[in-house]
Amino acid sequence: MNNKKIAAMTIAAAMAASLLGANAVYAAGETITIAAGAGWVKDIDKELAAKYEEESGNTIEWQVSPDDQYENVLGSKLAVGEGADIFYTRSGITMNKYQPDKYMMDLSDQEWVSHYVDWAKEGTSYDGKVLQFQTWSVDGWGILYNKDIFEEAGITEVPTNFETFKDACEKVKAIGKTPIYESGAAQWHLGVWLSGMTTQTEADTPGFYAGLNDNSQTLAGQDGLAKALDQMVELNDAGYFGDDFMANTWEDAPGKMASGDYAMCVTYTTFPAEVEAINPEMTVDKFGMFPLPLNDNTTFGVSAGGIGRCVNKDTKVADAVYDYLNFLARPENLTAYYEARLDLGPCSLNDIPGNVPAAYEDVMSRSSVSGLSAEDGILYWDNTQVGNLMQGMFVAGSTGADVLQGIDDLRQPSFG
Amino acid sequence: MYKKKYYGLKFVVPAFILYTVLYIIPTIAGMIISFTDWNITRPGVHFVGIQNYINIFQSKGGPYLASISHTFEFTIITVILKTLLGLGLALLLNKGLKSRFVFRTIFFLPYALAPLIIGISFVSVLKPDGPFNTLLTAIGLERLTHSWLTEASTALGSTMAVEIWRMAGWNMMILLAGLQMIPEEYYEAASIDGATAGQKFRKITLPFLRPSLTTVIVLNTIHGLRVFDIIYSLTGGGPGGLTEVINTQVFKEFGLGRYGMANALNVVIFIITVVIALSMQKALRGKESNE
Repeated sequence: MNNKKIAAMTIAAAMAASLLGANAVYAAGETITIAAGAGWVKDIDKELAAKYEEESGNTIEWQVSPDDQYENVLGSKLAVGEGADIFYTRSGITMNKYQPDKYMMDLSDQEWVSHYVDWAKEGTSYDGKVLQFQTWSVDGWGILYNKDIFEEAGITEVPTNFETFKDACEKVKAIGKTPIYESGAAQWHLGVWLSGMTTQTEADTPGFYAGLNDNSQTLAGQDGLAKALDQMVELNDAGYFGDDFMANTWEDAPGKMASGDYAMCVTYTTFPAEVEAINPEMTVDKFGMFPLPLNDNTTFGVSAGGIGRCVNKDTKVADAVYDYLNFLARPENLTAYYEARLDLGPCSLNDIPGNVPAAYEDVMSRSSVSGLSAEDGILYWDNTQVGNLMQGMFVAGSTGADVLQGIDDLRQPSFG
Repeated sequence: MYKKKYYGLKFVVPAFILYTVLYIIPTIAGMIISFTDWNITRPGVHFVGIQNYINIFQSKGGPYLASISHTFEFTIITVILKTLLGLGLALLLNKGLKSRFVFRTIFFLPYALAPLIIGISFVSVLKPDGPFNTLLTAIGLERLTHSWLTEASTALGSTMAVEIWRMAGWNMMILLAGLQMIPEEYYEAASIDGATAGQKFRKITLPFLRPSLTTVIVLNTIHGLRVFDIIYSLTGGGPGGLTEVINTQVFKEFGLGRYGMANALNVVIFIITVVIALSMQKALRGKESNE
């Protein structure tokens, strides 16, 4: 036997031994795999998982993908039977994209379900069954405004319709500041505008979402939505988005609002805390929020609770998974979670207060009604794809009606 | 005696198996899937014949025809400019210049960087307040400044410019190798006969360089038709789909879980690439053999 053969056998033996050794470590408990988008897993998630590992002897194995690829990876893995034991998805109608009957365990009989607040239970339910453990928060996108800039510009009344909104923009522009920071480079953020406006259509014509979801209704022909989109072009043409807004990124939004050069921005209600973190002088109480005023809208579109954890129907470690979810649902762990997640609002379980941002109370008080936004209420809605079509209004001369027709065309193949 | 010249089966079979498993089977599987309506949002996979292909050529369900058009536009312009720029650099740095080795390295460097990294870097460079516009302003050309990646008139052109910048050095290297194969005696004889520089280029350089030019043109065409990463990182296909090419559309279709359509688009670009590349090679090689 020559030296090469001896070396090869030694390496092979070492690899086999290390594999056996690795298995031996896990022999004391189960391994729970969790799939999620990178932006959805925060430090506190890892800390609680580590605490659980220590307590239970089970092991948590994270399978994190970049946010923009996660849905694709998840869909593919589920399709080939390699889905993680727990996988994150958006709550609400988005769950339907992953064939809930086939891939999601019914969690209705879990003890923590009885602690769910109404919006959490509604947002995690499908066909009468609870399919998610949800510890995020209901939130929505409205127009965040800087109270000091409004005062400086002489705006005494918060806009309540499109005309008063344009007046406010004009006054802000007159004092040399940019009325609205719009991150046009982030296609999904443009989509957020329209996603919030569909709440108005649903409020005016109940059953609109249901019609879209059973494919008996189209977005094309909805004059109010087309008008709202065309008004966005009007805002841009008037210079209210500033110069080159299509190059603005969402990542820059907190810094831009903290600079005091921009008066308004479409954000979620916990956003002021991010601004304050950058500029401590720009405290959260310096901001207010009102509903998107396009097409004289007064409704506030909200999410179905954000991101939730589904349990794979094919998991081999169901007991360990339930044990982990029960661990996360303990009041002390929920408290730790919401204390660390200042970006979240009210808690999904009624034992814990969570955080209710002032902007949330403000926008709710100015809204006639709140309801699900398109992202969580309309099947096969994709803000990025919608935003891509909306960019066409600003660079290629398409109209609001074209955008609505484009969304219909994009959704249609998913219905078969 | 010939037996020794052929590799034994034990050498061939592993490579064949690997190639079959990793390339041939997935390619055939992709083609089969392209005739189905496989969509992760619906249970079951059904045979739909050529419906996906019909949808592509009717742009039904996405801006497919626009993507194909942008892909051709990108390919034609980048092939011409990459080749011309590469040839210019190769002629410039072939001989004479003392620091030519340093310049060759500098021009080749962009090719050594990952296209995604280049794309991410150029997003900053080409921003309205980025270094490129700052430079233009500093030299008094402020009127030429643009929001390069987000204006309709400049978005696709900017992606082409970055691709040309990235690949010009690679073209230069291949053409340099071709230039150095040309015997110096031909140029000396031509000089004695009183040939001008232009005549020497047309009558000596170009004919000898034809094999190298064939290689770079065909490879540039394949690169152009299959472009993805540079566009994905620069514009993501936006704004408003103005820089959408076939492969960014394929990526989006996969993202939406429409595997049938994604594979159909893949087959379309595969067929277009093979047909164009083989035709070009045949045409260009044909000219070589005629000379």
